[in-house]
Amino acid sequence: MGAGSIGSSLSRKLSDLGHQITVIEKNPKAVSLLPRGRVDSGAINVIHLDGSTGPAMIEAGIVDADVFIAATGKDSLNGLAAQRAMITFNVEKVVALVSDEAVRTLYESLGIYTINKTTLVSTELTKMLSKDEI
Amino acid sequence: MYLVIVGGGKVGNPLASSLINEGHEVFILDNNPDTVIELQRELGMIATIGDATSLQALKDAGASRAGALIAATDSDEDNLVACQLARTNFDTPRTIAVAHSPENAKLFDLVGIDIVVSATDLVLANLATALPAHPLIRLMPISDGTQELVAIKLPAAGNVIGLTISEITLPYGTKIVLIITSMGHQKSYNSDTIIESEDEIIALTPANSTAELWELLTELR
Repeated sequence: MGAGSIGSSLSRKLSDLGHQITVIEKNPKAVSLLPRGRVDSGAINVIHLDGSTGPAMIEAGIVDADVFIAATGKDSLNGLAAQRAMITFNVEKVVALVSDEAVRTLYESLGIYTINKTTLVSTELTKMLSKDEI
Repeated sequence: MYLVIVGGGKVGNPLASSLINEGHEVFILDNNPDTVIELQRELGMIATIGDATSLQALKDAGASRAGALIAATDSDEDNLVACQLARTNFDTPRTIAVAHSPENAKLFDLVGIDIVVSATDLVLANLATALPAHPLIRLMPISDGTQELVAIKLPAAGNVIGLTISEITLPYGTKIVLIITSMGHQKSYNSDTIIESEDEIIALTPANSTAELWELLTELR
């Protein structure tokens, strides 16, 4: 869910690995970052609906999904969608992108896998900088 | 009781003022500076700018000592996360959330929000009572919504008009509570009471039988 920079590059990489991907993106204009060729060939399926809703998830084939990834820029929306995927549709592995650490802790406690963009970047930067000093 | 409200707009503002009138201590969090200024002008220094989804903002609003957290922003997802943050971090005794979409209202129930206010369902229920011709009015959910109290106005040419109560096979678990005549009088009834044209039947029914009950009572001859 979400075809922003992370959602798009993620779907390209997962598609490279041979996975079947459906991207749900509300805004039809916000898909310029998706790999065009993959979309045209049907390797990546794109649906223009509000991905946090049940009907959109069903349209995207959530019933057969092994993993649901909520990758919009809004923590709370990612969390709501992740909980719906987990509770309503019994998706085995549910991942939410977050940028707030307290929200990350909350979602982890609910059984959602989380990725904190902000900490990832700052950790990487710290590593780079400490290497430079050596 | 000390209550924290997140979202001081169309819902939160009148809610806060009525809670204050009832003697509660209220604090409001809203991320829109204009809304906060408006609240402060109307109700005093009981509102501050802050994000409903920020643990620090909730903490600053005193959520850790609140008897209840009421999430009434325009955004369902923000209402959900505010309640869940309060519950997991402060053990807030009661979390109350407004859900604008009925689907989200169901999800909020499932994830354990204590009280879920479904905005769409409320509007629909009110519309139903406002439209005199609408034959089914949901009066009240009972037992967590597994049963409901409904009022059904019988059409003049209905199939059940002229039958006695015992001649109608109600859906399993349904009980007629009261009959109100077309003149607005309560009718005492027993199994021999005859159903008359334009009677209004108040019944307690399993929620999944409501449609069946409605069909049975409003089917035309």
